Amino acid sequence: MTDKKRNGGTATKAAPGKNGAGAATTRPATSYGTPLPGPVIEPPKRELLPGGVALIRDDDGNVIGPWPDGASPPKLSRELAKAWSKDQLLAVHRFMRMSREIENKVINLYRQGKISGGVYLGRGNEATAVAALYCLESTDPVTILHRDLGAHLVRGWTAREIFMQYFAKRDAPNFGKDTGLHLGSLERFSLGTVSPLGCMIPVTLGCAVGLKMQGKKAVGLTFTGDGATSLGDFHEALNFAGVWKAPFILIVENNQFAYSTPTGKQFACARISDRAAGYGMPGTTVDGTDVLKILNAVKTAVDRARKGDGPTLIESVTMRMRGHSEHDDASYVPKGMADAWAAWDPINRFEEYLMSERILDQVALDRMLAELSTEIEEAVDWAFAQPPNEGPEAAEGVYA
Amino acid sequence: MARVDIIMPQLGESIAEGTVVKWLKKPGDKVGKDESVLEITTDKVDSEIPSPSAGILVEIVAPEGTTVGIGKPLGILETDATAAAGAAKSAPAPEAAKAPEAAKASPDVKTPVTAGDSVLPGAGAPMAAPAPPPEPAVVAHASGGNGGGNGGSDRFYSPLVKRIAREEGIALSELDRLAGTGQGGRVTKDDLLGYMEQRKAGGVAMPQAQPGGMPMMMPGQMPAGMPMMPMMPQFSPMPQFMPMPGMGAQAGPPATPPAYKIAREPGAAETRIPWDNIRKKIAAHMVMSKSTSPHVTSCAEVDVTTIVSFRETYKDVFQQSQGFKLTYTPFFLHAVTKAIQDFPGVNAIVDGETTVIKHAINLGMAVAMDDGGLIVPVLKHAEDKNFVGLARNADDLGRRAKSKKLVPDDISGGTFTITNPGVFGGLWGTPIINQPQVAIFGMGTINKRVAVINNMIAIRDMIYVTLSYDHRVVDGALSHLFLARVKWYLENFNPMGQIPGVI
Amino acid sequence: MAVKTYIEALADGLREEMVRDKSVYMLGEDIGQYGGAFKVTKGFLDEFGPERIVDTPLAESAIIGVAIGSAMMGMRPVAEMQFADFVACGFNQLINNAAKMHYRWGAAVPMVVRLPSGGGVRGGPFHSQNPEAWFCHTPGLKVVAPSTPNDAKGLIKAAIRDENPVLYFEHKYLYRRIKEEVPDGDFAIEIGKADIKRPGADVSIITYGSMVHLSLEAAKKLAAEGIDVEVVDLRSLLPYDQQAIAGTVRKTNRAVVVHEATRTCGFAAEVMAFIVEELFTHLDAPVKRVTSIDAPVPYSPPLEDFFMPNADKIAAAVREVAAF
Repeated sequence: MTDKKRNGGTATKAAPGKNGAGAATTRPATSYGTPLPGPVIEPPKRELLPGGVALIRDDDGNVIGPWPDGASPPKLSRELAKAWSKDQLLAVHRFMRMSREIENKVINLYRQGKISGGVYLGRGNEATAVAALYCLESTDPVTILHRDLGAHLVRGWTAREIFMQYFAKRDAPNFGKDTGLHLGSLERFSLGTVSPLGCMIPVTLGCAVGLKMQGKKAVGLTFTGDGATSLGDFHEALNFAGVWKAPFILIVENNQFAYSTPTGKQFACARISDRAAGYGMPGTTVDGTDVLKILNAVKTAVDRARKGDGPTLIESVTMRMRGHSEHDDASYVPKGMADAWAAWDPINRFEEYLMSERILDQVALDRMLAELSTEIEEAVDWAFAQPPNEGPEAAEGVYA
Repeated sequence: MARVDIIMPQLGESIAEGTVVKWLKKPGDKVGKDESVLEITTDKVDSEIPSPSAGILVEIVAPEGTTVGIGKPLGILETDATAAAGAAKSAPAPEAAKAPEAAKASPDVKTPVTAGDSVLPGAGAPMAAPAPPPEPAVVAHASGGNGGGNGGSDRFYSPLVKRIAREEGIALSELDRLAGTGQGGRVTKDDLLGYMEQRKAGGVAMPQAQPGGMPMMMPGQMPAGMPMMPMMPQFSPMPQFMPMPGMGAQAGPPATPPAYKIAREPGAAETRIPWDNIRKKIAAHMVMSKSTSPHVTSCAEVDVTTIVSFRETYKDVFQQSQGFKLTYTPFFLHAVTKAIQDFPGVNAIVDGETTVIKHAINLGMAVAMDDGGLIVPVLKHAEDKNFVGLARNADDLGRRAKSKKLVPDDISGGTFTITNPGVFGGLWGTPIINQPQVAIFGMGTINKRVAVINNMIAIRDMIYVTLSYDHRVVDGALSHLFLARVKWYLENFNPMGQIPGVI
Repeated sequence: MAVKTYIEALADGLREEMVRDKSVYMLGEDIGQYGGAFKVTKGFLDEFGPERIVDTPLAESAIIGVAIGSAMMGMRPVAEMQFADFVACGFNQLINNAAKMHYRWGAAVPMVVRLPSGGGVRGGPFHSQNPEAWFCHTPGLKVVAPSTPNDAKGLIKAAIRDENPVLYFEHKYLYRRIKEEVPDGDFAIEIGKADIKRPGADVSIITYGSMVHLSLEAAKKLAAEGIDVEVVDLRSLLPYDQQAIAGTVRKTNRAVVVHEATRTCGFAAEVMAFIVEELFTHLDAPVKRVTSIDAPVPYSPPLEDFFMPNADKIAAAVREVAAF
């Protein structure tokens, strides 16, 4: 019997119960000297790119990203688009664009000294963020991270609320007490995320479990970066989810770098989704710049979970198009890598598809951009004019 | 037209300044909103700075090559009012600088010293920012073990002792003259309180075990109840009537209670107050009582040190466990009841030519009302009640008397009456019998006095008690025996079992 | 009314809350099938079923994290750390998640973490700690430490009913060694209220947990010497009853603070700071504390006995303060 061929690695398993026929008794050379007794399964081999970044292949073995030598992205698949109506595709597109335009504005505001502290953007991640939330019900509990602004927009947060957050106003969703995209609301089933990434995975799992205890058919979903997959909470939570067969989805946004640490230094397995087997759940790796592929992957996982078939680990591969934060010049990213990835911009790829299928034209796009611009300018002015905090408010709200 | 600053942003948590690399516009140039105006560099990033508003660049404040702190201006724009409206609004993202007054409650503010009261956060606020520290005058002066600000004294006084001294107007020089029973001869709270009692009575300063807890065994001392070792006075006794500085000596005597003020017509020689019904009743009863019973009054002196000590020790626990205040009244009710049981002859009424000894002991307790009137509620069947029961009943009757909630049954059926001239400061009294009873018991004030025990001088809490009696039916012998018995019960008050659950 | 041990009263409290409110559930290691390492939840699995008595994999951080998430969605979890010492593995979830949710975005986290704590059982460094001070320093959390069966029952009910994350330190030494009359029926003890376990007039001992009993033992000894000790049981540490501390210090003017946790930056430091700040002019003697020494909890009996307070050490401190 042979294992399913994956990523170029092969292994032969000794067939039990048969006398010699078909059973392979020669053991392949291993990378660790003396062969171990018992069946040996070689882990899939890993490939590294310049800068120490791990080369990731999707489930069909195709390389994700502009490798080698700036390869262009494939066109989006009409097959995958069939699952969605035109209106749904346009809605997804609008969310993605809105997210991009808001963040462009945030960059300017930050450089004008109107936003204090740090700013962390998600350019390049719009497809994953929007697609993930688009597949959920509004009562499915989620924790959305700082590079998933589009997800917040899908969940119903407005531009005004987003800018109140950035301006740290008294009536912002975080009352001026927490930063940027840490907003949360129980009515929206959206938890305020924390700075130690990965730590909200067990919490979001807990939400799914708690609602299941109340007889609800909710699915919990959260994101994590490639870096936080090294954290204990990632492993503890996935293990719990697998053992309990919980209705839970974890999307790992593998954008190649955790601050300055490339994925090659972050984990030793070939793909993050390879870990899923260790926790007793299916794992899949998709091109995160292809919104249709992400939509498909999340939809499948949501259906699974809602049916009661348990959790899924999804690895979505993208590129972090700006520094870790706006005060990081990202000089550790190899020359040309960011430019090569620019061709895989999820918004450009999607707009190209929509235009080619005549679902969108330039006139409609220009009109939409103008509307978004007006909405954003209004939201900025409105939010900026809101009252700031008074000092003593710092002591309020510590306890429920 | 409005002027708007282009400021140096904070690009990163640890960044404090940036350097201007290149101006992309010059003064006089038009600038669009969000259009890049200059380039800067910091330790972390190089960045272009977009314009906060549309307008004209009128001044470059920081030329190329200069390093500027965050928040400081780089250049100035002139904008038209509408564009400037939103952006011109005050500060960039909230500065911590604006600490409002409330948070600043300065510890330098000298709050007035209040007796014993510190400012504590409310019970409901878990760890809310505490109020400013109380009595900073003391805190500011505390230094080393000597407690600074002693006016030159070398002695250590604890914060408690200093506070009490300050509140009572006792100068540190006076404290210096006290002998202390604490470690190293330090003056303890008890030492100071003891001294204060003496000073009030004009007596000699001597350390002694205070009422207020089990006395601690110190070398050279014996437990409370035992006579004290005689000590030489530390200094001559103060003259009685010289007001002590700061002793609370006011300009004159305390204010007259309203019930005793008399309204005067200007220029009138007299004020006529017609008797109301109550006054008529009282007058009639007083005349009748005196003309019915030949009144004689006996007196006894009682040492109530044990009772005073007991009450001091247990009054808080009593209040906590029983829910009302423990006064001296129940001690006397208790002793009187027992003495009546031993000498029932005083618990009687006269019916014609028959003396009717009553077996129920219904104690009338004279209560002075705030409006100047007098009422005598009756505590029925005192013989059936234990100490706490007597206390509770007395408290209840007194409370209802003052709030005028007594019912007729509460003021009838008395067989013996107790009155308390001591409550107004009277040393002892010769009360008028409450007819048709044959005796009335009076209590004076409790004062600390010098007493002689085993031929040694002691300071004891003493009280005079009197019995006015109807000499038709009660003889002097009976009255003195009765008083002596009351005295015995008071002086031999046994605390064990009196307050269930506590002692 | 019946006589109950500390552990029986605690189990009664848990059981009554589970019956009263279906959103209450328990999770932890070995609590279901096994009935809990100390048998607190013996019989609970049969009574409430595996949906509400959840045996978890060995992962403190996930246990606490899951509790936080489910609490935000409307459940009332009671999570157990098998030994208080292991809460360190889930420290971040408590400090950065549970404690800050309400402050940051108004989400209440009504959960309880039960922590069997304390030494004197020859458990060694990892089974004997009293780590409450770590959490008293975290605004957003509440911390309680009952000393008697009555308090154990009353406080577990109050903790479960509280809208905030409550850390419940149950002292394992007391589980089966302390018993008293516990009234039947529903009663909860207000979190933040101390209790005078022994009224007195000369010196106040301010304490909590297992040390309440040693303090009472010391008080008995001292009564025979003519020193009347008042023993104040704080019961709650965050928030703690400042009014009660003020009342007792005003009354006796001398105080000794006692806890089993180690000395430096232990909870006594906070109590003493408060006394000095707010009650300075009521002090007739310096405030002293009696605590374990600054060391990991040692294993061998003579070492642990030296490490921990006992009635004699407490009495000695009180005598010192009384004689000042």
